Amino acid sequence: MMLSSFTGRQWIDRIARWCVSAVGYSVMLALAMIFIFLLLQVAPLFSKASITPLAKEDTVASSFRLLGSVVDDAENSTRQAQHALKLHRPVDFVLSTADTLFLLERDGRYRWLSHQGTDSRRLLSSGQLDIAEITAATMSPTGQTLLVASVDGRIHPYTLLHQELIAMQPIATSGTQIQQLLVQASTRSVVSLDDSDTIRLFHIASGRELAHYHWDKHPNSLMQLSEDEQYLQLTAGTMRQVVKLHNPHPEASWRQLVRPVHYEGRRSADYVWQSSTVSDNTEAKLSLVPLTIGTLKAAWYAMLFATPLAIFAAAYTAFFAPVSWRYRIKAVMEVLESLPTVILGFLAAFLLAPWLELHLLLFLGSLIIVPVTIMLGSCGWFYWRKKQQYGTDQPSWWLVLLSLLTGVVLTTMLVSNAETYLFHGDFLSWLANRGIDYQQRNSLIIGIAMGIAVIPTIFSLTDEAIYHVPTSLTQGVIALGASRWQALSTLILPVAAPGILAACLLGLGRALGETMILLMATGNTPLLGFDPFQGMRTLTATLAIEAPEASLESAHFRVLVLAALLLMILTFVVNTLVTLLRQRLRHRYLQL
Amino acid sequence: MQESFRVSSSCLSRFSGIFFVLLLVMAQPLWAENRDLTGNLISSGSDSLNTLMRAWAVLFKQDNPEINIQIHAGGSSTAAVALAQSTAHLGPMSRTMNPAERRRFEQLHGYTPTAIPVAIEALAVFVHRHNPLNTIAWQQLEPLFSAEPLCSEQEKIRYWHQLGVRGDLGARLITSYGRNTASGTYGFLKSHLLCGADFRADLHELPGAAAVIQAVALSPSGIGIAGKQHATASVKELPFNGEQTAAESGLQRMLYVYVNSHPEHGIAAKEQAFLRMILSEPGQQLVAQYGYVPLPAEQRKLALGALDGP
Repeated sequence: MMLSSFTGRQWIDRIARWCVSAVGYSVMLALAMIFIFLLLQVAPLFSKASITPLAKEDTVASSFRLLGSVVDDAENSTRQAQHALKLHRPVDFVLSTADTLFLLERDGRYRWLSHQGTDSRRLLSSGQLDIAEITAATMSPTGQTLLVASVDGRIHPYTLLHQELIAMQPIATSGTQIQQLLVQASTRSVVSLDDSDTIRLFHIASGRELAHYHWDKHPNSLMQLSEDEQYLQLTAGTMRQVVKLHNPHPEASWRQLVRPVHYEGRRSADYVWQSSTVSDNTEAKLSLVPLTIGTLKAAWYAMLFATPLAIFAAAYTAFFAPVSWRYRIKAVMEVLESLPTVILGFLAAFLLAPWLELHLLLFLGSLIIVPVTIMLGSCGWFYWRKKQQYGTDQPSWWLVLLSLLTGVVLTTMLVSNAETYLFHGDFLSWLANRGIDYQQRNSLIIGIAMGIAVIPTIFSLTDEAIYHVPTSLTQGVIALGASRWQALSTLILPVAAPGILAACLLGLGRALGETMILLMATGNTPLLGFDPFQGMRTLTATLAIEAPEASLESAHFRVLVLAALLLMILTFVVNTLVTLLRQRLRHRYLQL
Repeated sequence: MQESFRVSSSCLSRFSGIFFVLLLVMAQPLWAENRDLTGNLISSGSDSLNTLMRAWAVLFKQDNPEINIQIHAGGSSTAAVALAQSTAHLGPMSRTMNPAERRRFEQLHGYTPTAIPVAIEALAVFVHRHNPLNTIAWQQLEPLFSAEPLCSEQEKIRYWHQLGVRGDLGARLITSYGRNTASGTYGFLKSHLLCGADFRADLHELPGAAAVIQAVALSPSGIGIAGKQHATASVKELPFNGEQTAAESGLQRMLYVYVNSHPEHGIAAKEQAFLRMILSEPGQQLVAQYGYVPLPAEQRKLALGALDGP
């Protein structure tokens, strides 16, 4: 009887334990699944391009026509050009697009003509390329990129901008002389055929070799690209071979994601995030660097604003303020924490940002003057108390408020005069004249708005850490004659340091993952650098903006997933650090 | 229908009431065939067309009270995605679909989507109301908004003094406001104004035309492009100086509603009726009323012809 009731309870206990642990494990499993899902979505981004030969009997779909006429067209236009220009001897390479004609000699001399219609030709520019001997040349169908192979087997891309040829990063190949080049315009890639009868596929802007294919010993072969640019036909005499070019995500590779890339139509290599392609003539530029810097920059300015305020506030409530005050302030902080960030973003974008643009000097001035007046006020208080021999206890709150108000009034008075006399009436144009440009939606705004969102997080944890320092320690130090400030700075802060650090990291994690404030109050400008007066575009905001427009399975979509993964790893690392630090703190308090 | 249900459920027991509902649910397809204008009509796409779509929806509801219309305005790019994945019936777009979007649709459906022009929108350049500038040259727009001007041979314009503004503002950086990448305005300007080049990296991307106007209204050093009909008193529209006609037509664009038109069955009845209402006289009157330009008569005829299908 006793035994059976015991086993009944045991069973219930066991089932309960199973249920609880099942829930626990399923949460962990769900997390792992999200992670794996993201990884699976990203993985195809780095899948290799391939060149695969089609079997003889395979016929390419009927809608597809191999452009046999391209060669004839080229020969035609060569003849036409020579005729029209009254050239005495043939030109080595004649490259033509819809409205331009590019005549190139083996020694690098070139003439670049525009042609509207058949007769009217105008010389745009002429000159000499810095290449000893040219073995092959081609031009993209849009006429924006010229590709030239030199005798050492390198491919030199040039971007054509107005009447200039701007050299891009040369593409290093195997070193074998290249016979022929063809541009796969839709993927911004170039196919080369060299003397060793190897076909190589390169991405032009990054210079990355995507794939290669060896065609067995057929000298003097010729390549032709199909109309849809999916197939390549190789001919040598009567021999014919069709290969399929599989090039799914040429615009994304580690190099393009994290290194500066010189894209066509630009003057130099740069980190560019321009994911929207609009038409086939433009290329998606997917550098994660501006977005990552944007995220770090936003977090940095938010922490810069929030950390000192939150830590000082927490030190005050946990150590100086009466307990009743502590509860009141904590309650206010909790309200602040529950404030939806969309409200903060709205206020920042439509109230704070325009206000700050008009009163920037006032704000910057008050950052210096207000703390100084508060400090002076306190010093004055102590001096007076000492003189009156009242003893030097803490200044009361009305004194702080009074010096704060004095500070604000003083700043307002000073600033309006300073702006007139020191900065010629307008601080922003004074700054602009010194090369500092001010954008209305900038890092300062984000620092303040996101700082307000982060303060409660840092405050609560710091407050707990300081409040729970064993009282025996504090009392001991004070009994030995230390003042409250001495106790705080020499004993409590060092003891609670891991907890404070954990609080800051938790705040950082929050700042890294914040979306709504950034979406609304920044201009979502993918800029580089940590300029406080410029905006930014963060990983989170980019995800929010671009996820609905990116079509599934596109490189853009996968890069967005990669950004999500990056964000997840960032916050995961930060939160793990927080947990470790808090464990250490608990351990330390137990020891004391 | 609700009336009859109430009567019957009061007569019958609870169980037979449920049975009756089940019968009704099962009879739904039969009943739906007779009156096809019921159910949901989901529109997803352009923000520029958002106000118009809402106005049209109200008009449409007057004649077809049984229909439930949902309108999402996330930008033109969302229309292409939603239409391809069949999560929307109507795809309002303020630009034409690009080849990649069309390919995506073709992959999933086997035929091309159909574009029905519905209205014309005139874009304009706006500055803060206190800005001393009164006109702007059409040729200045590309260097102003482009990361690297491709068509224009002018230098990049980044500061107000480059536009001829003197005084304090002259030294300041031009803060540019435009639409987000998903929008048709972004795509339209990128291909028609910037020759396919990228927008300057410090272009502030905002989610709607009204947001652009609002941002310019609050920013003394700001400039923005948005639809004329969104203008308020706190911004100043800059007319073009010089070649008026080229500029005007350069910033005028057709607005479309994309639909899924099956090569054999044509456009589904609900979409068909909605588009006919848009192209009707009252539908086009709404266009003018909201500050857009109605379609010219011959274009309307063409669009109506496209509705009849192949």
